[in-house]
Amino acid sequence: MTTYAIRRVLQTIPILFIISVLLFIMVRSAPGGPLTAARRNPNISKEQIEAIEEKLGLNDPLPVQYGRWLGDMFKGDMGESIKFRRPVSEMINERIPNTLLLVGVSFLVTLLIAIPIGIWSARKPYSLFDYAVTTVTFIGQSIPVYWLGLGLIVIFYVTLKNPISGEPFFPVGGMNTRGKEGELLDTLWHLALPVTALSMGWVAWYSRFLRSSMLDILHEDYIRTARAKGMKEQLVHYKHALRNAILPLVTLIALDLPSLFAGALFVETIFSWPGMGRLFWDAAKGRDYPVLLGVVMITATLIIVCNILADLAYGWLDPRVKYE
Amino acid sequence: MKIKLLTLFVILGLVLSACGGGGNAEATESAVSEVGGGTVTLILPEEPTTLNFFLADAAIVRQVADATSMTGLATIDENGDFVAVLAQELPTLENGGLSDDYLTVTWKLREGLKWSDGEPLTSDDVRFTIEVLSNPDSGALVGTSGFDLITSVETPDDLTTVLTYSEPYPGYLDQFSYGLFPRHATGEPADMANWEWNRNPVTAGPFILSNWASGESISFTRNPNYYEAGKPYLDGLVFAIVPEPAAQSAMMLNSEAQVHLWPGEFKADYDEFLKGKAQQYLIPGIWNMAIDFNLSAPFDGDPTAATPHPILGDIRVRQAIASAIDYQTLQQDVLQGSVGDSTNPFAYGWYKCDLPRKFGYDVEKANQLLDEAGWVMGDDGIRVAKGAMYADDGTRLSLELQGYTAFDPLQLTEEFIVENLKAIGVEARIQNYDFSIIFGSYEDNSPRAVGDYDMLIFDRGFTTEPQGYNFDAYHSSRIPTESNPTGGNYFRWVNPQVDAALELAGSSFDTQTRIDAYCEVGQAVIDDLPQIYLYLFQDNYGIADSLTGYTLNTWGSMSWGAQNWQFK
Repeated sequence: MTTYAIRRVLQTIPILFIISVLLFIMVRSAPGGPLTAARRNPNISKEQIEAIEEKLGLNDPLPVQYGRWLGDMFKGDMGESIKFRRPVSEMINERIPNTLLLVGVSFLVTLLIAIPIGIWSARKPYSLFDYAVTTVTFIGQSIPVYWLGLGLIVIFYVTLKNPISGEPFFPVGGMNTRGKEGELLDTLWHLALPVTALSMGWVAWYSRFLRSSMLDILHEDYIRTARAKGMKEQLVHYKHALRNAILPLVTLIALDLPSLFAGALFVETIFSWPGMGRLFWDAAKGRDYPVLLGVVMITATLIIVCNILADLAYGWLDPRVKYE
Repeated sequence: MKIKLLTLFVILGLVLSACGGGGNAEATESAVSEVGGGTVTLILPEEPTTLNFFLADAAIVRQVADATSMTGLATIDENGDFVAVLAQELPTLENGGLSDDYLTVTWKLREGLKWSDGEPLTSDDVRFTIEVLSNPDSGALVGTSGFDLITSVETPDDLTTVLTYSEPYPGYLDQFSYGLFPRHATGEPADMANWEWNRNPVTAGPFILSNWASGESISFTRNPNYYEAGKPYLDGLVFAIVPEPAAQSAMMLNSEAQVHLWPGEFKADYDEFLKGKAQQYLIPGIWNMAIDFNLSAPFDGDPTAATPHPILGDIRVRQAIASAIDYQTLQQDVLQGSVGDSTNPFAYGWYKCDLPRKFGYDVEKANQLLDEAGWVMGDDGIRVAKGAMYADDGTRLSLELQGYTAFDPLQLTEEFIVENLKAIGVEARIQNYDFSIIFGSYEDNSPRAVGDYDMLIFDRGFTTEPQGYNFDAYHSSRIPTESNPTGGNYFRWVNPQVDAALELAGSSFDTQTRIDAYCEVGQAVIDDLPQIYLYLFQDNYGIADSLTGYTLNTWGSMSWGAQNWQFK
């Protein structure tokens, strides 16, 4: 297992290198550049723009620019944002905690709701509960997240008001009320709507997944054996069935983990949440190459790491899986 | 098994609590000041990159910077006139501040000025500002015009700065209207782009930064050392970064914000939605929408004006197109009055030219012009050439109309124009590209730069000093080619009379002479039709009814004059 882990980690090096080359080419072959906005600003002369492009090294051949960027990356320097003139690492560090908070809480809420629902609807398939859950989850899965987000704002911010204070039930966005930065309750209050919007689709997806996985397993021979020898239904479900049914879910979770860092663009935009998704989108719109490459490289690395973790966790949770 | 799963959750929880708690939790004080004026929240759709106007590549920077770092010797007020700010008065010929040969300018600062950190603001800071903006390595993108003409700076005392210019410079007031730099709180001129000051300026403006929560909000408190006694009236400003338009309007509805930059809704809908809370106000902006024609043959590998465009080379076709557009309906119905009329490039400012359209909406006339020009109606309702000036017989009267994507007013206009042109048997094919392609460089093969387009629709604008932009757009020496890649005469328009007028406007110091010269250019655009002006955008702001003292200023931004704001 240890040698397997080491081998997998070593494999990531060439993979990351190839990813970095492809990313660099893709980012740079998108039309326009960081100075496109400046180009149509009536106050900025074209000569000034050329001078700045020269200063930033944007006119050098691409391989030269790639080499320079890669060299800096090896030194742990992700460069400086062209637009903000700030270190990329600083900008990313500001956003990662916010994103972890939003996506992490949504993830937790999702699992806390989806797992019991999945188990319950598998235990009593085609019951009223199962049908009700199925309907709700299908709706949850089909509602586009931006529509749901706006709907939540209309209901809980615009329409419904607290009958005592006359204030809206939930804030329209942001992370904190001004002057209450860092207060846990205030943060949770601000999290309520975005987490709801983000979790809805995930709950639907995870609970459906667990339900069908449970149903499959409940029809296995060894479950019949367990029942035949007079084992209690409780034990059959939670000890024998769930343990096996949850394995594929671990893979799913591991693959979704990178979004903890990549952020959730739609929800962040609608609820003015300063997360990684918006940092990425703003950088993409403004062609702020260093920020764009920094964010995407981190996400790519995390996807690979999470994949390895998923494989390892699989071996850990399922004794049948052996890594040679 | 259960224990292992539980461990996973616990680890996840630990990660969350460790990372989640520590974010940008810098507590801001919401200090209650003695003046007691409250805090105004302003909505921005995106985050400014800096608070240093001179580094701004986009209009969003000034929306914030006007409230803090942009207090200079003078400013342009809502009437378009220069007024003194930190200077005692504007230097003019009458008061001797401007010498008779226009080469010496004397600025006198008000007495007792202080920077926001309490240090005295003196003529040495004016000198420093000039040192920075005349330094070619400063990294400044805007506001540097004219600083290279200043040959000497003398500061005989703390209040007086005497400038000598190498040649008369008409923009001598304008160049000092965008703020001063404090020598003691900035850095080396050549390093301006990296100054810490850019994100937390020591300033002479009404408000000073208290907290910048990246991606979320930028907060300001009142500057206790502001030069106008008793101002600003408010305790502070908060610029909230809210990208979602629906959330922006919802904040205005719940009175959580008082000033709303560029609301997405038309005025009538907005005012109805926010009845009793806020209204939308419109002022003429600087963005002037026009259809540009390529007068030279596209896709012939020749970016010069040598070969005329097979269809658009004939002025009668351009006149017919101009007559086919229903300007009134476009402005009032399609765009619901959110725009004003415009007929030529000089639609605002001191150089404004009120010139009537020569070819107004007249479908009959348009059809007649095309008949005369040798374009006969085809079976499918699109005309074909039969004896046209440049086009071979049988050529369909079909033109590509290029625009940029993701800008609703532009898309609405394009669709309307297509309908208008169809009515006279002209086919217009909409082809929208990303912003960065339309406004790309010659090296990037941007269609307008290399001359591979038929019609192009976009909005252009220029500021108080129009010479640079217009010379670049209309002078025949500015046709972009391989050897002249930065040229801006995308029409490939050659008109000697226009060349002469532009040269005169650039060399004269007399305002009336310059206005006349620009109007001559404007008239030539109307007569010769290298482009057709459609309308002038207006800047729109949503402003809460509870706020007084707000001034709309074409030359300023949403936070211009914030020192005068008060709650009712």
